[in-house]
Amino acid sequence: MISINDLYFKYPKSEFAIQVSQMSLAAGERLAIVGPSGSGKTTLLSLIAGIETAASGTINVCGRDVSSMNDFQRRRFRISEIGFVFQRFELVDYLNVRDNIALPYLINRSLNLTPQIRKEVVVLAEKMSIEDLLHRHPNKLSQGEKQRVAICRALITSPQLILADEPTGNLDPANKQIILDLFFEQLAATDRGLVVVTHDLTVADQCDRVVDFSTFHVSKLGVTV
Amino acid sequence: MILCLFLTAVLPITVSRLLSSFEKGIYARAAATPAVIGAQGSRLDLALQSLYFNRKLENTVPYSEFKRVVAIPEITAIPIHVHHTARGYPIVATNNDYFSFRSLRFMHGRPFGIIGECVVGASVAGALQLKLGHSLLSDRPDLLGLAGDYPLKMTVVGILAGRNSSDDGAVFVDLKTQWVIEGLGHGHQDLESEEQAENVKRESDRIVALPSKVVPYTEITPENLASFHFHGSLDDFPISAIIIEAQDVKQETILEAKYQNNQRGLQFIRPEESLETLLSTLFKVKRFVSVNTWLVGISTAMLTGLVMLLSLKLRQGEMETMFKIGCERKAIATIQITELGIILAVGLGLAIAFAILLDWFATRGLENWIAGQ
Repeated sequence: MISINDLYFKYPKSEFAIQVSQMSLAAGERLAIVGPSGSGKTTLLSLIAGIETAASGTINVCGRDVSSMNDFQRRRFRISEIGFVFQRFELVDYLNVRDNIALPYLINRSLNLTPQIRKEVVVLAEKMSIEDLLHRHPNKLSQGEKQRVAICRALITSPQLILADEPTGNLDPANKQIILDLFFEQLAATDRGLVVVTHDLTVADQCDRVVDFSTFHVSKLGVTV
Repeated sequence: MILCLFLTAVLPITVSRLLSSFEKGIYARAAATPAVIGAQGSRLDLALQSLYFNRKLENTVPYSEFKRVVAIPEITAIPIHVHHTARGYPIVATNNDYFSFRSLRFMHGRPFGIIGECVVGASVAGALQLKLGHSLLSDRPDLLGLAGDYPLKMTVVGILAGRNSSDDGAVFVDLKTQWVIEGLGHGHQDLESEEQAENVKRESDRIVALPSKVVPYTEITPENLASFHFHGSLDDFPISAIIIEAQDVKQETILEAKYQNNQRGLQFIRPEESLETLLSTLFKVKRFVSVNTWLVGISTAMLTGLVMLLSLKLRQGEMETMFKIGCERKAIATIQITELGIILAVGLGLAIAFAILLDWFATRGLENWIAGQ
């Protein structure tokens, strides 16, 4: 599902860079990336999603070379093939839960918000036990409820790959396990791949593989994997 | 922010619109009245009275002056005399040339023909629910007066179509009708006829008493019309002003020259020029509002810009999220510009709509209020 070779990326006007000589992820596999803060874990997710562009190297995701795509192609690829779960949920406050879940369809003309999709929003909400909250706005939700909404939003386009950046970072222990159980339950039902950046070893334990950035060579310039 | 934009924009837009409408209205009426001859005194009062009928002039013009001017072939002269009111509306004594001069159309009826007939403006007819054949009493200016100038009962023979001008709120009569109201002419009720005999109570051969059912107003009827007469020469009777329309500038200038240093206490004015003083005050108000508008507008624009920038900064995370999940940056920019456009459009749109609404209702009132000052 993911194949990275000789990847090199450096932020402009910054000394920080990351290098990945080789990394892969099979279909349906779950990969956890752990490591110290500032080691480039989130940057790697951005490179896989096509949000950032590598200076050199190749990134193949779902059989397509993301590193050679232009901005338009990467955006189209991202919306259809990748679902993002953010640490701080990043819901839109002025939209209700229903519209937050359907947000990818609201902001992209390439996706059609059909009645079928509207039903799928409700089905997903039911699976995440938030079907009663569809008319509420994010400021009326608990942290756990917000993360469930964010997970639904990541899954609504039926992506092949889920990228999650610290999905339990803002949750209390009680909510964390509930969310994780629901999240992995949804993933288990399909052949989706998962790359999750986390400091939480509970999350890492539930993945198939763990890449620890702290065990790799950390140079002055950044991380070399 | 919408309210802020509305409040900033509504005052200058409203004031500008009102003043423009008023200026257009008052100038139009003044421009349609090329010149006026009246007694010496305030030029502004004379202009306003000939245009709006809303003030009584202390000094008057003898009717002989009108006869002299109207005899000049190249000059159209129309007498105007405003002295009394009927149910609060000014009675404007003139001749039937006035209606064609002002291009006034009759909605019902005809011009006045004999003493005692009147033509009312559309607003008067509407407010008093007058129809053809109805009666209208003139107001008694001095209830305690012993001289006995009783109200005149007039008959409505014509109702004018509305023109959104001061003609709508006036009662038009013949000059002689007005002179009768002023007491310069009168008729006699025949109390010696058999029909009126019961109204007379003879106390003795020397004392004749009249009971209260003898009518306390003057009424001109076909029966008593012939009895109406005036004491003194009509040439000496008063009129307020003479509206002048010359065939060309040369005739107007020649006529004007005759009133320069006039020994007879008369003056020749052009209403458009006389209203300059009044309008210059309005222009000063307009200039002040314009300057104020610029200052307030700049402050509001800066404040709006600051609020928008802060809003964009606060929403940066939201926009970044949208980009990450696949929205193109151009679409994000379009969303932001559209939001700003909607705020500006609604705020300014409300201000313009409010100004139009206020202009529609208030223009006439402002014109009348300022003309009444």
